Amino acid sequence: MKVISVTGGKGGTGKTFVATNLAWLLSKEERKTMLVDIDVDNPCTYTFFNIEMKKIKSISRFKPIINEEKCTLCGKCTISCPVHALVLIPTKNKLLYIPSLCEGCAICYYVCPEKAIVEGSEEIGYILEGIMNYLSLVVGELKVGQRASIKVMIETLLYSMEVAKKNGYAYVVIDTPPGTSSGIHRALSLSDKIILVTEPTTLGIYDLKRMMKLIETLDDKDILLVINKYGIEGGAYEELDSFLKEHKLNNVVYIPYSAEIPRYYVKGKIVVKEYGSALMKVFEKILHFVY
Amino acid sequence: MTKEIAVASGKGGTGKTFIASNLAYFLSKEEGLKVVAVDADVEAPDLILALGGVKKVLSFSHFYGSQIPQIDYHKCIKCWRCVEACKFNALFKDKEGPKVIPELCEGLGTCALVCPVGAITFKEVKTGDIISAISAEGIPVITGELELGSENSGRLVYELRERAQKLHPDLNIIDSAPGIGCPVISSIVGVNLLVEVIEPTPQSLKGALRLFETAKSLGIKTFAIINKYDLNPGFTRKIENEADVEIIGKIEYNESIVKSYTSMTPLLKFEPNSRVANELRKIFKVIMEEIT
Repeated sequence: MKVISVTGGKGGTGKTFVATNLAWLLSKEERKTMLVDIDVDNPCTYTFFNIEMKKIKSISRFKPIINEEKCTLCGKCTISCPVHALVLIPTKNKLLYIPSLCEGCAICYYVCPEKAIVEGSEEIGYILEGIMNYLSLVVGELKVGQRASIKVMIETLLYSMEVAKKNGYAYVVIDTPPGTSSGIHRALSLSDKIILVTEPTTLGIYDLKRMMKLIETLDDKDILLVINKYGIEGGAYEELDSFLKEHKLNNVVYIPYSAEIPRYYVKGKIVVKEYGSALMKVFEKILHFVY
Repeated sequence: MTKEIAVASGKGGTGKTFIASNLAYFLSKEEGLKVVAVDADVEAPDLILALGGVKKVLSFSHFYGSQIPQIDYHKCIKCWRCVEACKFNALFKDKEGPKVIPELCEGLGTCALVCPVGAITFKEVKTGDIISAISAEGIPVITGELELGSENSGRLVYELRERAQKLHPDLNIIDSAPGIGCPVISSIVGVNLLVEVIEPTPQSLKGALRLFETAKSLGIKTFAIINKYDLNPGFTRKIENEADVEIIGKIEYNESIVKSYTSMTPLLKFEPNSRVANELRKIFKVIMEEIT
């Protein structure tokens, strides 16, 4: 089993574009492929496939349930809560719970001398799964109003790796969110190969430099750099050249800028299927790297 | 009282930094307000680049936004209460005693609380840097850089907003991280106005609606801007008709925007008389009227 992460640092460079097309191509070659979407704040991979998605796992956190009959308003929980999610309102003789601040550490549950706090649970996200022929899609999604993206990312990763191993998948392609968080770090450390997708702009290169530093903290990984929107007018090409030299990156693939690609993409189409040979040549290089 | 405007989007790469940098430039240079720009996209901070790069660094400091348990294995009696109590599964049983998985640990201290022999103490951990600088365009920028592979970005974002307040500006412009999670909630909670940047794609709309719902639950007034609207006019119309959010303007896709980035100059200065620049000004005036 080979695990490939598609990442890059900046948002909107084309990570999902590369990941969805790559997974689709691998599955068309009748290689059992799992596409894992850990962009849990806004997972979009499933908008490109006509796969029925089913919720197969709920991810939740601790939430306090206050038994008002037992509560003596002693205030121990409010003093102990590290994120101030419990507040005592003396004028109203009430203990107030603010769910949007709670991180679910359960300290309140342990400090309450009256056992007036009972363990409840609140769903923070879930895992969706869908299978079509050789392609399986596993998607982590954060519930609106919840903060714990990283937890949902990691649970989705652990679940998908377990299922992929058990069911003999040949390839696992992980589509990450933008950024350099600990969730992305975990995905990269699980991967054999890393595909970095960037664009030839000052901001794209700046964010990619941070990503390179993150990769330096891992064991040796095979890296392929995909420069998307190459040729876009006004791009930062000198900066890009010196970046490539500095990092001695020689495994580089260029996707030429074309006004056509976004037109297919915005309609939720698998672009290699529609666009034809020019783009297929680029993806053949990406496939060659992945095999 | 300083007012705060956050610029955010549910999906990455829709044009948050483009809007935030030009909005800061407009309010500061064209309207004469005292503005501080806050780069709260702490995993990919590049707002200052869009405002001309660093002219002068005012201060640089480390931010200790988290703690990690330190276990004294001489004191530990391997009762495993800490392992059972941790709601984040950040501790596991090992030969020597409990071991910590740092990326799962939230540093909130439940383990230390339940330890009967006081074997667990906490050490402050550096989670980021805070750089306060004047950009080449003369606008102060407070930038947060999260430690690579770190979390707890929300606490860093709160600190950035506090630092900006201390400069007593008329306005803080907060350039948020993409998404709807921890750093985003910390960027938008309590602001006077949220400006959402949407692209006419199903992926961006999905994120936008999720963010809009998040903002609604926090009681935040929200405006939306459709960026690159002409790439998919049909979908733009769909957003205008269906999304339950006030759309204050549309911006065309224009290569000058890419060029203005490469030259690290806000578009309003790079091509001040262009159609896009004038469209931006119209949108920013609506924002200004709302906020003042």
